[in-house]
Amino acid sequence: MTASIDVNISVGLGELHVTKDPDAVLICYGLGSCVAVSAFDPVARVGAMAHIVLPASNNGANAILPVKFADRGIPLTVEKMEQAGAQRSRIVIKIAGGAKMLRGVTAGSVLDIGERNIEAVNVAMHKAGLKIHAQDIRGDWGRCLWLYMASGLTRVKTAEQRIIDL
Amino acid sequence: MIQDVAKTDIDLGAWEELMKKGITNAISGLSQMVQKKITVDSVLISRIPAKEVIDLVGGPETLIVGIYLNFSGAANGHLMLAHRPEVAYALLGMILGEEPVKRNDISDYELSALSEMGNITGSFFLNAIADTLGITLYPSPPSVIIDMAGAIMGIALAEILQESDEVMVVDTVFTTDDQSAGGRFMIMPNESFVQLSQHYAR
Repeated sequence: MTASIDVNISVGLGELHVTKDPDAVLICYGLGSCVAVSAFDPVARVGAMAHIVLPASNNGANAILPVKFADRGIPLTVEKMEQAGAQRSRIVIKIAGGAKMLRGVTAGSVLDIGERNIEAVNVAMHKAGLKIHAQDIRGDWGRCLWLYMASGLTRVKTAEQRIIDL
Repeated sequence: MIQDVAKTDIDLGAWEELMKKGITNAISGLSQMVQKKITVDSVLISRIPAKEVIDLVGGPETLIVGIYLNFSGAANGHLMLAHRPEVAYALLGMILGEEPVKRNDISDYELSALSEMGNITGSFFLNAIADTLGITLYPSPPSVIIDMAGAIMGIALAEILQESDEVMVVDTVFTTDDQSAGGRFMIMPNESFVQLSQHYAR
């Protein structure tokens, strides 16, 4: 057995990271209403993680971080993965987050950004011809999402150290 | 005490002065509540990427106690008291007159004490600003959340990121005079609030 050292890559708010490095671990830390999208092509071994913050841009503005918007971040993720050799039909999508962190906010209301993010991610996935294979979403707690490139495993951890493998 | 001021197109001198007034009043309110002298260690006023705002409170995975409120009226923005759990317990001890004990749970009574801390700090801050400018600002009820810093800070950051990639943050670090507890009070205004300073004649 050869030893390898995991390379942790933290994917910040509005960031996208695409990799073919088998030692890489892509991580979104501290997701509240944000949605982390993990995408993995098990044949080409191309992986990606996007940290979505909001459903859509107000005016189609050319933000420095277009990935922060679901409507722009999802197509960009797929495009960059294809450029790295992934095939759309093989991409396995798993998502986490979309929580409602404020108790005072009515679930499903316009202020429930988590729910709106989940909806927007679903719509964008549908448009891109992709299916969400697994998810750990909603609730009122924070999460972290890991994608281990070596195995393709995705793992969610909460503040109470609850671990869920997707 | 201003450590760093980012370059922006607004009159930051007036903005700083306005913020200092608000912070001084907020800390004085907090000091009355915990019945201890509180020293402001530093005030950072800067326009930085959202990721760096979360790093100010220890990074996205760090467990914090966040007391959050927003405000509306003549301008909008977000206020946050962010403490490590042990600091929150120490502050609670001062308010409730109990010895802080190390533990992981928090009672409803303690939650409402923390919530009141947010009320006092937030309204003292907003009153000073509103009085100075002759405007009205309405604070929301505070929410007390114990979770990962990224998830808590995301409440304020998501709204600001809708309009911009960077976040104006006023970050005040304070300690009680006996050094027993310190914390931070953060102001994350929307652009409307930053523009307020233009109406403030020094």
